[in-house]
Amino acid sequence: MTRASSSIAIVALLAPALAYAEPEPKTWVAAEEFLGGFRAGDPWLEWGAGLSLRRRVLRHLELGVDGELLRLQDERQRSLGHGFAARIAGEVGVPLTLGITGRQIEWLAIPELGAATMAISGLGPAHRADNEVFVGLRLALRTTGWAASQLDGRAFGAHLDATAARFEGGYGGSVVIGYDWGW
Amino acid sequence: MALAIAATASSAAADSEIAIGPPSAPSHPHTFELGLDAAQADARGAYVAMFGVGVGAALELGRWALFGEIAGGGAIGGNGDQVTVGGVYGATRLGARFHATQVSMAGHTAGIALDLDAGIGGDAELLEHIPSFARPYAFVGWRTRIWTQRHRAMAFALRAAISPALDGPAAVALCRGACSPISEATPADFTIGLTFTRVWQ
Repeated sequence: MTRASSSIAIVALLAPALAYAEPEPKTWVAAEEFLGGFRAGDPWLEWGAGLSLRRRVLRHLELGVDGELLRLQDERQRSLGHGFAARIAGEVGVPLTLGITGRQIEWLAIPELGAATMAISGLGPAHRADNEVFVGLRLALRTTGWAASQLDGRAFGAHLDATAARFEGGYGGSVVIGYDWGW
Repeated sequence: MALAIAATASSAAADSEIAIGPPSAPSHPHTFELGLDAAQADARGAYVAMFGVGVGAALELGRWALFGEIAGGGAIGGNGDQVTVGGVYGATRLGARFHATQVSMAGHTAGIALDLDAGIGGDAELLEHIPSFARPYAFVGWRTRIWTQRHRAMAFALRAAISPALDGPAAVALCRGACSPISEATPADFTIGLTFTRVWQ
């Protein structure tokens, strides 16, 4: 086989793959399990579930908004004191690719900075609302380079978030896992 | 579940025929499921934890579905360290489900989907030494469905429910007199529930 025919053969082999490639998903929706959070100083524990929406806005920037329903446990009164909260958070993150496995799974670390507010019920008049700023690290895996219909997602993934927060009344932290669909 | 996702992805990576354009909902007009049911419910300052089995069925309407579930099993109730009682519970739920998004590959034989649920339901508790009680609730939740065969899937669902704060003799007995006032501290009871089921779709 001549050099020219070899080149033609290689291009012919690569052409379907090149045609198959699609832009990476820019928007991700995630179902999240708020595995646990704590607040020191005026203590409570929290856990629950929520949904998250993420959007890549620049090449190295990702904006997100999360909504969660949480169960709060007042640690000063053991199980006698409990309530619940609706929490909304917004954050900005910088996705950093750690590696790509088999050209199909991208592993990411995403340092994040965000703020959140929560409406609280059940912990008494002293706790109606709270605000926080937080820093976090999201470890994520996402499939890449897949194709699907326009209606449905064309990638999926999972993530683990760990955050440290400064509340109005003290410090705290939380751990969240989630499953992502991207399109 | 992250491992399952990675395994599914690796399986698909090995398949050169990654499919395009999966259907947006399960391929059958009816789906059925069987699995585990669990919940932790506040009961006016006390709590009831439930663990049992459940069955469910859904009528598929495109991207939407109507579903019903029945569950039952063992329950324990307590008030901190003071009271722990055992018993049984039963629960039923009716709701609407939206197939929000999914990714599938290899001709729809493997994939992962996100379903959003909302509806109403109720549970009844029969605990020893406590007057039996039942409560209605409204819930929202989401469900992650993973399948590696066309008509069989595993689903993990999480839901948050709100019900009127428990009142009456059952509340007094369960709290041992330490119930917080309904009007101020505990206007409603909150429940976190989950199901882990096998789905025939």
